[in-house]
Amino acid sequence: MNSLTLLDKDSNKIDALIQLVTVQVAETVANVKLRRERSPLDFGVDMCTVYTSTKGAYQMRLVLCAERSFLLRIAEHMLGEPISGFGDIEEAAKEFFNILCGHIVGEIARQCRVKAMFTPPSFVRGSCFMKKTGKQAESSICFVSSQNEKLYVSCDQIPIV
Amino acid sequence: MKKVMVVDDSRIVHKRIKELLEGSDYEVMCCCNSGEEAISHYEEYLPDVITMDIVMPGADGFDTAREILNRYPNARILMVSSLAYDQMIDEAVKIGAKGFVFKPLDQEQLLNSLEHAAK
Repeated sequence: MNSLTLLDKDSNKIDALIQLVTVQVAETVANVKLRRERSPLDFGVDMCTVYTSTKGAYQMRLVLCAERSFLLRIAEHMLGEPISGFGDIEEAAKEFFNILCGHIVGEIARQCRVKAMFTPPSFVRGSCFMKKTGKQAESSICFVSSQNEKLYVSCDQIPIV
Repeated sequence: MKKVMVVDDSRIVHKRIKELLEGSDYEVMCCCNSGEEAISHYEEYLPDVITMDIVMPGADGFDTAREILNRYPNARILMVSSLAYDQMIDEAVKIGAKGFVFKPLDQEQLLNSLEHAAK
């Protein structure tokens, strides 16, 4: 497979991969059950975003945008204690996303035999949607937790010319 | 008791490794938030094993491991990452790391890898 057109040619595969990995990582790392939601979601206003991009054989942006209540819950689980401030939410969101991205990039490496790493995740309050340049393919999957918290995971691939 | 230096930019990981090593023959005696910090503290603590994250701001785990092994060839380093695929593991072996531990961390895997690395 040509790694530079990974999403163009195999967007269904990427969707399936993101869905599988996100559900597995949420359950393993944070004991949260997620299901994919295919109908449009009404996201709350209290959202946070974590994002990164890959470096190596292909360039891909990865974004997790989630309601704060979801991130609060995973932070309490990952820390094993009540959180003491917003810094704890940021810390947990970044580590959760780090594990998620590692598994996504690792699975792409196994399937496509391409080597890549990713930059340390960054965190911002609010929702942060990818700007479309018209040149990249995009995949975006929405999830709802068993406690009705909403989130989505997006990735796009910028062709390396 | 064997001394472990944890190198990871997440204090959640520092805490998690401390918890997983409770009651074992290993003790976390130093946590570093970056590769640069690890390089500057290595000689001070002379750990038996270093657990080294790969994705970190500044020098990544591979660059840091290379630099530590260049200065201290007897250092014992375990790479710790969610980036668990063959080429990453090969790279870790190539630079002289003693093993690779996958995130999310599992107690049995961590203890077995530490034991192997500390031999």
